[in-house]
Amino acid sequence: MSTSTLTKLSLAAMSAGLLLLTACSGVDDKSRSSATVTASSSIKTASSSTKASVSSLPLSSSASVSSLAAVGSPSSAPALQKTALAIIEEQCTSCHFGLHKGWGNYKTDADWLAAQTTLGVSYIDHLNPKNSLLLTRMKYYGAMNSTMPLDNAAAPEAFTRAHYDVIEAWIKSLALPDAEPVGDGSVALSNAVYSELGVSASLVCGNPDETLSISLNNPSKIARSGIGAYGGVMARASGVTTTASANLAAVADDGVVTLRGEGLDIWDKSVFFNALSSPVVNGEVDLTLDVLGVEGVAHDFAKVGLLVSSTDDLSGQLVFVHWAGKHGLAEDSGTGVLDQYRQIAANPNGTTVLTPTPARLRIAYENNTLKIGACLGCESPPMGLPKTFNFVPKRIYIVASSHAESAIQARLSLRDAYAQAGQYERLASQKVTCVDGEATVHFSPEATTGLSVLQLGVVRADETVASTRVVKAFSDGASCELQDELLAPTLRRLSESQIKNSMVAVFGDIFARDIWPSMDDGAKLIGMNAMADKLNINNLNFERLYDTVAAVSTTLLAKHTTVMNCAMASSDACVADFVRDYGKRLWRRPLTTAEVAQFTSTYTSLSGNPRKLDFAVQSLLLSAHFLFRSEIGVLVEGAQALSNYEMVSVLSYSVVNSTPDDTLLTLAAKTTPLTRAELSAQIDRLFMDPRANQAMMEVYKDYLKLDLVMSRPKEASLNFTDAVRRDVLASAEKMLESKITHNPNYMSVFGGSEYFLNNNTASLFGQTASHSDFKAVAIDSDERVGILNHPAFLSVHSTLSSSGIVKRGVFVLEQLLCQELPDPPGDVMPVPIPGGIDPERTSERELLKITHSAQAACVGCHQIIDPAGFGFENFDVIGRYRTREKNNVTIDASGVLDNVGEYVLRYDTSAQFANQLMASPQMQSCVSRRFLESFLGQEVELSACELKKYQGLLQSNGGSVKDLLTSLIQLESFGKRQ
Amino acid sequence: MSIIKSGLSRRDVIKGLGAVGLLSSLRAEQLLAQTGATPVRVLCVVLQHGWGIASDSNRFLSGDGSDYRFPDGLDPFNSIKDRCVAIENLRTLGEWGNNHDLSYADVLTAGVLQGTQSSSFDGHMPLSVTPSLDFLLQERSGQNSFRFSAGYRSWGVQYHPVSFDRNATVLPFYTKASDAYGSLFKNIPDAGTGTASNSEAALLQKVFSMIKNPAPGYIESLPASEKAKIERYLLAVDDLQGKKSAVVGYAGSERLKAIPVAGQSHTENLASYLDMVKVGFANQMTTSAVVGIGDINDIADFHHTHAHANSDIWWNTRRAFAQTIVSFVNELDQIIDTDGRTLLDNTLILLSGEVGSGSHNIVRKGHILIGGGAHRLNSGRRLVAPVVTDRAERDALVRESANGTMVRQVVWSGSAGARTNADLLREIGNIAGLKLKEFGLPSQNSGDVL
Repeated sequence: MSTSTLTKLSLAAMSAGLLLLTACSGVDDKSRSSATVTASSSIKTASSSTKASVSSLPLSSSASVSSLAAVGSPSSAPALQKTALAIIEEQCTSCHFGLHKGWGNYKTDADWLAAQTTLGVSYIDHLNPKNSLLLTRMKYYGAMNSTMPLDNAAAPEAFTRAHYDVIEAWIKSLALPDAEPVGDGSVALSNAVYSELGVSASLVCGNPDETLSISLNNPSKIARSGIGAYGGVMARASGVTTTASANLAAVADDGVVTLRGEGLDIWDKSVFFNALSSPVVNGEVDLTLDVLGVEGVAHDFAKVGLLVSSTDDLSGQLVFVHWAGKHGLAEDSGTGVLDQYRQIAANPNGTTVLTPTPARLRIAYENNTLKIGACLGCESPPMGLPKTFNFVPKRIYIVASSHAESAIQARLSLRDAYAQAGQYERLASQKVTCVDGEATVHFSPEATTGLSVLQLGVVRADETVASTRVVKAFSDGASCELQDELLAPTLRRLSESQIKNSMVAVFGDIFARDIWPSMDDGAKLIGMNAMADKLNINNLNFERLYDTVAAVSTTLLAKHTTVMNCAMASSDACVADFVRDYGKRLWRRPLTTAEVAQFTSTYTSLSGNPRKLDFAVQSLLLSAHFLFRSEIGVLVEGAQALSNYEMVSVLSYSVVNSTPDDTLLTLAAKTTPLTRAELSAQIDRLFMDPRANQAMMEVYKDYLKLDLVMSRPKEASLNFTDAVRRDVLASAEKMLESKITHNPNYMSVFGGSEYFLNNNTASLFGQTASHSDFKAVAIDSDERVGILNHPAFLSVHSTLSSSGIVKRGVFVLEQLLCQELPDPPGDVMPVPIPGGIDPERTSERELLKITHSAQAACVGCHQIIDPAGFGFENFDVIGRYRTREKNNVTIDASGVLDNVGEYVLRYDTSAQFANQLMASPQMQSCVSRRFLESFLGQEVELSACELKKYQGLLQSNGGSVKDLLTSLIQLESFGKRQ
Repeated sequence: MSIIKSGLSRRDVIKGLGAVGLLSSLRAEQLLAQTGATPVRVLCVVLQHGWGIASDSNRFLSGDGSDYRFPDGLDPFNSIKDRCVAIENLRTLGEWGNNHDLSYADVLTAGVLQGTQSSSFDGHMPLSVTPSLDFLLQERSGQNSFRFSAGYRSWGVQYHPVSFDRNATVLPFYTKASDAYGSLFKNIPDAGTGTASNSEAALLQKVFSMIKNPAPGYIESLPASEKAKIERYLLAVDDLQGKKSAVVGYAGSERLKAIPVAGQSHTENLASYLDMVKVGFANQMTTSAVVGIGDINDIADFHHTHAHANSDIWWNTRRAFAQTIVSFVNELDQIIDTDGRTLLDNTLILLSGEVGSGSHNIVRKGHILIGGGAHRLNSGRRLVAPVVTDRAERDALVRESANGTMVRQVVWSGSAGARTNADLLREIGNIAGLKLKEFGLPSQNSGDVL
């Protein structure tokens, strides 16, 4: 590996804020821990500026990037003397955020960093390296268990487990070490936990009966003595003069520093400013400056920020990160001058007004690297290399420059990470007396003031003898509202079926079959069709809806008893009754008096009740109140509390996919919020309704996308006619309904060997039948199992004329197992079939490997996709069982799917694969996630609080189909939203 | 259903309707705008996977200037090459991710921000922050653009996000010719302008008035994301109200060759769509149209085996599409417009795609422009736009990103067009009467093409 390449890669890594390489070089996790403790013990003797946090202690090791080669993983091969970065460079041509390009495409680390920023992803999570996408991907692609395929065809050797171990060790080394107690060894803090229940820890005391003071501190806030160590500096054309800091700055009672900024220019050779300045010893600087406000600005480029110099004056290399008047946040740099510029963040309000405040600026030097960061209104500025320089800072300046004759006043707040722990802002304290050398510490939640990180300190005679940081982590039982993880309030446009179901529920099944609108919502292959964001109104589907409503109105006037009677009535009072009574059902809530009055006053001028009724029907049904289900609620104590009417609406559409009936609306009229018992009773009642069976079947169908069987193009020779398709779909629906009706475990619905056959479908199952009605037939379960082996499913997930290994594999991964695959690369060309390969005598599986999956840009994903598709190879394009294809080529439907979690799916046949899928925790988890998404109309992240709760409830409730609903109403988000 | 006031000029009818309040003043103004000078009509045909004119295609145009030839597969265009301008080397969306999916929204807008990857529309395709050319033309004429999709779809959405208004709202496509017919042509009277019957119109106006006021404070009470849903709903109500307010009859003698029926194939739909465009243009029912053509021929493993590879099968399919376009062009050339020119003389047809060729080239993409643009287009030539090859020059090609910074557009290609899709769309818009100094994202305006 060339030095330049190494530098480039190192810089790239550093740019992502991840170069903490020295922290673990040459040690495994266990020994790293002890090394850290050893280093920690040096705190006591360190200078007063020694950084209190263990995480950034400068270790004595001289480890460098290249020394990482010696990372001691048990399985590291002796020959593997390569750094993690070198391995990545050689092996991972597709590790670049979907760009599918090699490292060589990034001229600079900034390019690499920009690619991450642009695409919003990062392969290495510098805050939590163990969760880095790079590690996930490598596991995903098989590196944990076997030799990974060559991602880079030009790589000199295969990627092995040993390579993986090196990279894993490196990435894990980037993690901030776990919070560990520091101190003089006379006492020890352990088991520190910070949750919504407060802070607790165990204390082991050197003196068995000692009473100690325990303080709870805010480590992100330095006590306001911040500028005592700083002197004043005035840099002008005439030279640099020093003065007392008090001559330039004042500290308010709240600790805010007001710095007067002067200096006619601050650019190029004219580096003029006022500043508070301090020398930096041994490069130990980690200073965060909050620019809280700047007054008196007369020049667009007035600047406030942090400047570091490689010398003790301004003659050396300079890096100045700053708030730049009307021009956002930026970095200036140069040697003895500031003549190089890089914008860090644009002014979000344009360049005609001042850049907003607060702005947070930070300069830190760690692991031999100078890093800067800046952001607007944020907590943690992303840290990266300066534009050009990397030096050991010798002096730091807190700068304010007016760039004009008049002065500016900059209001600032400082955080010095090298300040001693004792300087942290104290939130609470208590005395603890050790009994037999032990004590328990507990602070109530109120004392924590909601901070995310706290510090516990043990103080003896004004000296901190032990301390530890503790990060807030909610307990398993913590409410989602408390975690700020309630789901979003939504308006949900009725789906096509809900429009129809609702009208039929309210008026009866009196309408012609062809009046219902096509809303052109599309059919999502991945995810559920009920997502609220996907269901919209536009001018085309609204026009179709209008046609439907006009037809509904005509039908009602001709067939609906109430409407017909009213049409013939002499008074129009019945029209108002119609609006009130039917409006309540259609709008899923009572109309307000004003709304009814609006109706009556508007239709008064129309002649005759028929026209008034026509107006009322059209207005009710074209209204947003009918078309959009409201799950908005009203603000109550920080959350949107859904009304009773909104709750029964969610319930009704979840259970029967239709508008609430009178019982539900009567219940919703309660003035107090509905209880879970009341809601549960309604589920019991509605679940008995035949519509519930149909509604749940529709969700299963949506999950599997079975409706697409009607539209998937198939080669004409297959004779997969519309009539056959209709019956194939009907057969699948009957299979699902026959399961659901017994309310089994929700996963059992996918299984079974009893299929419903008729004359159009029997041949697909290798059977014969002459009857057009469906009859249940048991099929050999070694051949075919459950709905996943039903021709409806198999023909949807196949191509025009072949089984579609990739299509099936992608669907299994993304929809059945909720795995996220990257988008396919944009620059892939199929490889021609090599000479000597007869495609008619080669299996599709083998051809796929030869022409597609083996490509460097493809292999990463296809390594995982293909095994998820091989498992259906016992079925052809329309789901007919087979053991041979083409010219007697033997089918291989075996595979191992071992990269989607702990559970490994090993199978020899398609039936085994289906059974394995259904038994897998991954699919069980995914099904529950998709159902929850369908019920609530919004995507739910894998880590979402409500999903975890839902899955827990589902399990504890028993996991039946009905429990999918009873668990739903137990969620906080059922009744309230963000 | 409709009352046609014969004997009055179209202009008088519209003025009269506006005066008595049966036609909103805005709608009246829009209709009056149609009565001006003969407009230039613009049809944009976007073909999924492109027309094959790109630097990394496998078939290329030959010859220079006016002495040029289309390659095999696009050879039908040779019969009308005097009415064409073949334009090569335009830069479009920058390189990142899967350009094929990222650039749908950019084809007619040049307004997709660099780096954005997904949207609530579908999760796979970003949206444009600037309006599409057809929307600008629609705004100017007051006549809705015809937007048709012949299987121009993927990922479960019914049509790709191609047309946008000024609020980044995707403008929908008719996905079935029978639906389009029912909405655009059914029951259109032979001439003039009228309204629905008085009583029907009055009832409808009350319905629209009622539903446009959901409840005082209702919209304001919604979160911003949900408010947008109601705003889109209200736009749809407005649109339908405008449509139901006046029935504009045929202004010319062209009629549809056949009435589309439900259940037609995509190929049949495409023919119907072009027929509707022709009749719409000829009768001044619209001045702009967009037709998206997708994977409408049942070709096994179309995407990877054929589109990516620009296979012979795919070129043959392109040839069929080209022949369809040529037939359409010839029909336009047979229609005499209101100013005595042929309809083709007054039309511009842009053939484009989200990528230049099946290999997803979008930094040196080709387009075909057909028609006269009211004699403002110098047709019958091959136009090769300049390219940049130097690394530093390529690095200087930037585009606005979602966070407001300018981002390098060309990541891996060795060369890129020095002129852009936006440049071409701007010039087309100006030929059609728009007065555009810029089109799409400001960064995408780099100079003249035509």
